[in-house]
Amino acid sequence: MQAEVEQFARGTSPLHAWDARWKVVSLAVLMLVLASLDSLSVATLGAAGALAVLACGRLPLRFLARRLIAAQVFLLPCLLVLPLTFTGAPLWIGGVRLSGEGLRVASLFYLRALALVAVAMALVYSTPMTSLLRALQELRLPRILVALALLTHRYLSTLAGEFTRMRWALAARGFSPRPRPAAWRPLANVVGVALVRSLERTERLQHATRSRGYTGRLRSLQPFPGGPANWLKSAACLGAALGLWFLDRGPGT
Amino acid sequence: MHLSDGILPVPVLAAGFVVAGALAAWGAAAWRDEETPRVAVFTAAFFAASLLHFKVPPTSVHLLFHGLLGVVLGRRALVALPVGLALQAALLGHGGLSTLGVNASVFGLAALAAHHAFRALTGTGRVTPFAAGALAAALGVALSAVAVMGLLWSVGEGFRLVAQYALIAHLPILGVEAVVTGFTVEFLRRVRPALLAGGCP
Repeated sequence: MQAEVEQFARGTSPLHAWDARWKVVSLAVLMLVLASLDSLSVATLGAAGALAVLACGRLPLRFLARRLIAAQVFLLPCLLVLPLTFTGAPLWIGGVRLSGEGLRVASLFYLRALALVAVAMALVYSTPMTSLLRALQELRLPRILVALALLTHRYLSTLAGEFTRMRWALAARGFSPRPRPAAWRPLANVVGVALVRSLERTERLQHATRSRGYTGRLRSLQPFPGGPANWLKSAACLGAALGLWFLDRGPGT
Repeated sequence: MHLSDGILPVPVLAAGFVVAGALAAWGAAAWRDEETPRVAVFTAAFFAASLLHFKVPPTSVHLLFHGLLGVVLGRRALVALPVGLALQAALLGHGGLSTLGVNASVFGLAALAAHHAFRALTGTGRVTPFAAGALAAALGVALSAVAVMGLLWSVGEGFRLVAQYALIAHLPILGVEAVVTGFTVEFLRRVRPALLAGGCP
């Protein structure tokens, strides 16, 4: 799963070439505006814009579609009941009483969620984890959070490796992973063993990295890409965010 | 259950970030660099728990493990949870980056409650580690379920049904999570009792 995320993080698209620090700040502002949209038409525009940003990353379409659908699975059940549960002017469609207001709110929430997920994906899938964390470090995110995120990301594979080894050990002893009460204790012991073994490994890892001069600060020999293109992309992104914000406030209010 | 993008209004999202930031700052007080690997392993476990799905028609739910984090890490769970949730949102699309603050606050406060419940229960000396861990985890899940329901309820009248469903969907998680956490705590008590000494008050 990590491999999947990092797989496309080293492309050459305009999104990949954007300085991670500028990218984080610009897209965060865009997300803030997208989350605040209240008008249905502006939210549609925002979602289209967010998908356009994502398209700039030139990531494989099938991969993007799968992630976008996965993100909606949690949201759709909630939104489908809204037109039924809202009160307000009734709207009869095919013999079912729907609420116009509920339909509007559900569409608005759906568009907002789509836009936010698209922008988050554009950020995460076009930036290698180390560049992203280094950018956050330069943006003064507390050192502990950066170090913890880096180590957690690193230990995911350690933990996954321990789990896989334990599953093989269980299978070799004729254990079937069917969920039933008698299986709970061995499964919980697997969790415990994986945790304890990972802890022992990470302690050794910690000694090794510290003895090689690691102080919890990320360093890299690769500078962030400079140049006017960064400014232009950020200006375009912030301009779009500002435009959406003004459109949403509207001339009337 | 993680709150998704797009539902909550911006003031609530902003308040979530402020509360989560304050909690994390308090949780990180007097941090020693030697602690980072231990906290990171449990953060990774928290991340991985959300991959363990089981079906509750019409949706599927997954383990949360914030109770276990509270029991083992104590106050440090307030730093571990935002990091774990950020990674879940970024790598898996669970929850969302905009709801990171709200989710971190909800889980953080529930984890803290689980921690104190566990300490109080083991302090009496009459409760087995299994029961103490299970009850603490159940409390953690129940508290976060109520908080999620309250937040959804506050969005508007149309969300009442969704909010009630969110509460009911937590019940199976509560059961499984309590049992798994109970066994895990029992195991850690036998193998690495120092881990459960509280980490940090």
